[in-house]
Amino acid sequence: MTRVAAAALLLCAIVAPAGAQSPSADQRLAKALDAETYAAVTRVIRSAKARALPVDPIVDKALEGAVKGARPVRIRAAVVALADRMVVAREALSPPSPTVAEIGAGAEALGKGVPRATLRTIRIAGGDRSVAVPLGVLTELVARGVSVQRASDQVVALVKSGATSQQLAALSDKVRQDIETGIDPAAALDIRTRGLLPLLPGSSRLAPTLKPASPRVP
Amino acid sequence: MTDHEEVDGVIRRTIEELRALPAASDDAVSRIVAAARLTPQDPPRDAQRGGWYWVHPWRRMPAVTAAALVLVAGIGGYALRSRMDGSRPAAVAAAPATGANGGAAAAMAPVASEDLPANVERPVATQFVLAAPTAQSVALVGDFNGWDPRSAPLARDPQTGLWTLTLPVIPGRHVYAFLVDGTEWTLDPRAPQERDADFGRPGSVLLVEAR
Repeated sequence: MTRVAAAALLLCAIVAPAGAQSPSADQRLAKALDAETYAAVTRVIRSAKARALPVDPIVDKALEGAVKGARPVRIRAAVVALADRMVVAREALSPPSPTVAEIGAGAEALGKGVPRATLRTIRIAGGDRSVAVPLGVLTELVARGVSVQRASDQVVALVKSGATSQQLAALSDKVRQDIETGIDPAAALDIRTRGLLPLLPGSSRLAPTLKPASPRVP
Repeated sequence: MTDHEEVDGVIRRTIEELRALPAASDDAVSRIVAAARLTPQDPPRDAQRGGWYWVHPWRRMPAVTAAALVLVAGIGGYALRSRMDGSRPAAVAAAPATGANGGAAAAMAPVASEDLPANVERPVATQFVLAAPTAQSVALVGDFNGWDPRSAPLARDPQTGLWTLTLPVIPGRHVYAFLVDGTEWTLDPRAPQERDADFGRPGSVLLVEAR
């Protein structure tokens, strides 16, 4: 065996698995999209790679549009907008270097109107823990009708107080159930947050800063 | 006799033998060194037999060793990729359990057990269930499986008639739906729904908690 052949074989063994998903994703895109949309999405992916962004969320967004039967113009617009939000999310969540899940969650939150500064605040409040779930809960609360400002304030307070991923997800679920029974979204979040905060290790210094959703009746 | 005493004895005898030899002249030493420098060097005997030799590793490496190295590198490549991109886990290692989300239920144990950075969360085995008694096939599509219906077909439980599938899902908020009989877009009746601002077709929402 020559050294060149061995080196080439070794290189292939290392590189091929690492890029194994790319051809598959590319093939799926080529199959799912028309030529023009495929070209446009590919350009966005190349641009994302050049900016060191994860490309899986962009591929997913394009494939989501395809499986939903969306018009090409909407698919193109969606992937461009997502890539732009991912840039903002990555910057807001760094340092430490955010994961793909965190960047995706941050981009979704931005898409719901959550400001960049809130992402940064949640990152700082979360310390070295993943903020994918807190950002997902924030997005979910906004999607259920809680105002961006209130949802951001409450989630930040909960994360600062040490709320776990399970506690946040459970709170989100209870708020949704409350809203479905007719309770005002802001009031539902306020009630559930006040119910959870006393149970959290860091709640004592934060509880007084929380304001009720509506003025209290004397 | 201990090992130390045996070694000491060898050294003592060596010193005695060297002392018995006549003193070496500097001239003789110089001539021997110069002659050695001019003599072509053969590879060590191990290398001649085909063993590992660091000067010409690829030429001397036997095919079996090279193949083993390539295999290890390949496995390493896959491991490196999964470490770099934890968004698409491929294995399920935990039984499903009841979750708080209503529709999909998260299992109690994370799928992966390797050491990860603090902000990388392990995928959680999550069960999806749909009652579709007349369906011929049900597939799951969502942002956790690349919206690929072929990658996540549900299986009909013979006892209950329910369609079910358990998948590892990264903690966070996810959107998904079922494709019944390949074309019918079906939301999870147990899960909250979300309007889709991008494409106009709503999805079911899943919040997977970290474990």
